[in-house]
Amino acid sequence: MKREITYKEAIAEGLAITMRTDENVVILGEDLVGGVGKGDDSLLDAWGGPFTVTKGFVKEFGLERIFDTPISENAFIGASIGASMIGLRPVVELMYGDFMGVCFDNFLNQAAKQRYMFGGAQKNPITVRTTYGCGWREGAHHSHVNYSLITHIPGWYVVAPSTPYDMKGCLISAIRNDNPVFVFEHRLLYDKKGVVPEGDYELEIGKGDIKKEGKDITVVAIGGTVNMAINVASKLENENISVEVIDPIWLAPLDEELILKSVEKTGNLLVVDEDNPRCSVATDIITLVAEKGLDYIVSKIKRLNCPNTPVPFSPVLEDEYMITEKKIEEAIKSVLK
Amino acid sequence: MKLSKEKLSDMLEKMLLARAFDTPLDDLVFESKIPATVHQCIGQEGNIGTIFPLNKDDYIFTGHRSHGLLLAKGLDPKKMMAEIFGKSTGYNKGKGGSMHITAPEYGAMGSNGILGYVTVLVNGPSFYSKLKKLNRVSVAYFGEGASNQGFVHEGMNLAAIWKLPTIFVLENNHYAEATAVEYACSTQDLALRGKAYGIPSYNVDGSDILEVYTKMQEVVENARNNKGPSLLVIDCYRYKGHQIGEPGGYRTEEEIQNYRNTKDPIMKFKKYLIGLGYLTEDKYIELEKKAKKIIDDAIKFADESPYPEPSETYTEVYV
Repeated sequence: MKREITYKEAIAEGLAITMRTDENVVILGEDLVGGVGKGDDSLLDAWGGPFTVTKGFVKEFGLERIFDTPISENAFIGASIGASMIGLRPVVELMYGDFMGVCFDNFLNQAAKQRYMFGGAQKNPITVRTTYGCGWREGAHHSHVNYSLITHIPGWYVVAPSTPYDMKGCLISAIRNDNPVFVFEHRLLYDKKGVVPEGDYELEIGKGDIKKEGKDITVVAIGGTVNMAINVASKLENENISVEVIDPIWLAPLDEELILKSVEKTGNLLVVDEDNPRCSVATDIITLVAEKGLDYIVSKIKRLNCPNTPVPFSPVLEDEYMITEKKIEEAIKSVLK
Repeated sequence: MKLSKEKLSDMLEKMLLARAFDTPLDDLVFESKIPATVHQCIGQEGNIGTIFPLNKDDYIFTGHRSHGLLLAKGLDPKKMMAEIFGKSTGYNKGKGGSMHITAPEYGAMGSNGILGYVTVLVNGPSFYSKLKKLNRVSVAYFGEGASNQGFVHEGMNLAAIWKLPTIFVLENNHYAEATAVEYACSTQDLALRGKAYGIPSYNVDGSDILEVYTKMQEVVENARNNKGPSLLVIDCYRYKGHQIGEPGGYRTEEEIQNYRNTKDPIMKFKKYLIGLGYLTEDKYIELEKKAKKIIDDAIKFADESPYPEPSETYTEVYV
């Protein structure tokens, strides 16, 4: 029987494997251990991060490899970028993607530009792990989906895996890669299970995956929406609608060929993206097809984003805001009608 | 400083109200009446002593753990509770939630989920007040964990060089989530963080609301008299977790019990008032019941209020 673990466990496995195979991998973030600073070892490992991903790590790797940080994102991410310039491979946890605002220069002007600006004289093998995704009723400062902001910046690789298998392999590749990589982890996927090999494996950077084959329409879905798209595709089989679900996995670099080939086959395109609509990854993929694959399109191109608003708190409003299977189904039918 | 019996009574009632407000939240979260976790200020009620020297039109900027402060500033518990429930009758029509309760009509300028950011926002109203000679002060509340954010240091420096009527209130409750102040802060004398910017900075004991009040009164007067910003560091303690449902484990039960038994701000104040002859055990129980009734009514109001219409999702993105 094939082993199944959760998305969260897949993250932990990927992290632990890279730490075991390379002593230069260190991890930093708020409450990654928990209970530090009291001089009482029985309190250590109280949390293992706010989402308990690194629970138990301190026992294996010690406080020399896993660092609790103050609430100083600029300081610990900046230090990680600096350390990456002379040989460490820091993996930093930015608790919520929303918090990139407090430390954005690290992402906008530093890690992303050093390689180019210094004519290849520097490299920044840093990995930033962050959580994203609405649906947790946490309001506008803890729910924003904003991977498009990082995807926009040249110099970053960006990955938003949808399955435990992809997560583990992509995370290992990300940490071992010499470029800065931003890993977006969907919070609603943390407890989702999937088949994952126990050993060490890497997945190719920039390579997407066909999650379900079909012939009538291509649905490109990202991160948290991939499983929804697969469910909708299965449901629509009963109505003789054949949906191909493409998961680009990596937003940068983007697997353009995979998307274009699929659109060539199906002739129709829907892009599902939880980020806000303007200047989004969906917009980007639509542009790709408009520029390079317009001849393949037989009916319509459509995108489905969350609305152009911040994330509201009230459950009624947040449910309205979020992408749902029903919305995906309606969007597919509106393309095909 | 001699305070009237009425003023002291009002302080006690506001402390009891704060505790009564946060106490039932655990159950309401577990029952999913409240759709998400919240941050309680139980144990930190002495900090609301900072509100009493303020006028209604003075400004406060608060963070994620601010229910008690907002109640003391005069906000209606019904509309606060409704906001936390995500109802349309809440202060922010259910769009904000517990972390973002905002009522500018009370000077409650906006609860913020980005730690420490209030320390830069706060200088806006104080700058305006100084420019327009409004004689209002502007107060930022943040924790010892947030004091490690760059914002805080930039905000303090700007307030100092412009001599703004800004008051920085650092609520040191000893833990930033699961991380202790002893680990995360380079000094345990957090007043040094203000002194470094030439700001008069004071450590006060948050278990003594009168000590908090008295020092706040002094720094508010200084701010109104154009003497510039101050920093108040309140040593306090939260009995509950960082948020409802957190796993705990980063501090000992004995530590929590010790604070409850020896440094509870309400118990200490109660004892003081009984000593003055201003309060009896019976009267205290009556006040506790009164606070509970107000909160029971607030919960009922929130529970019976309608959710917003889904179409409200798309409104108020722009003016």
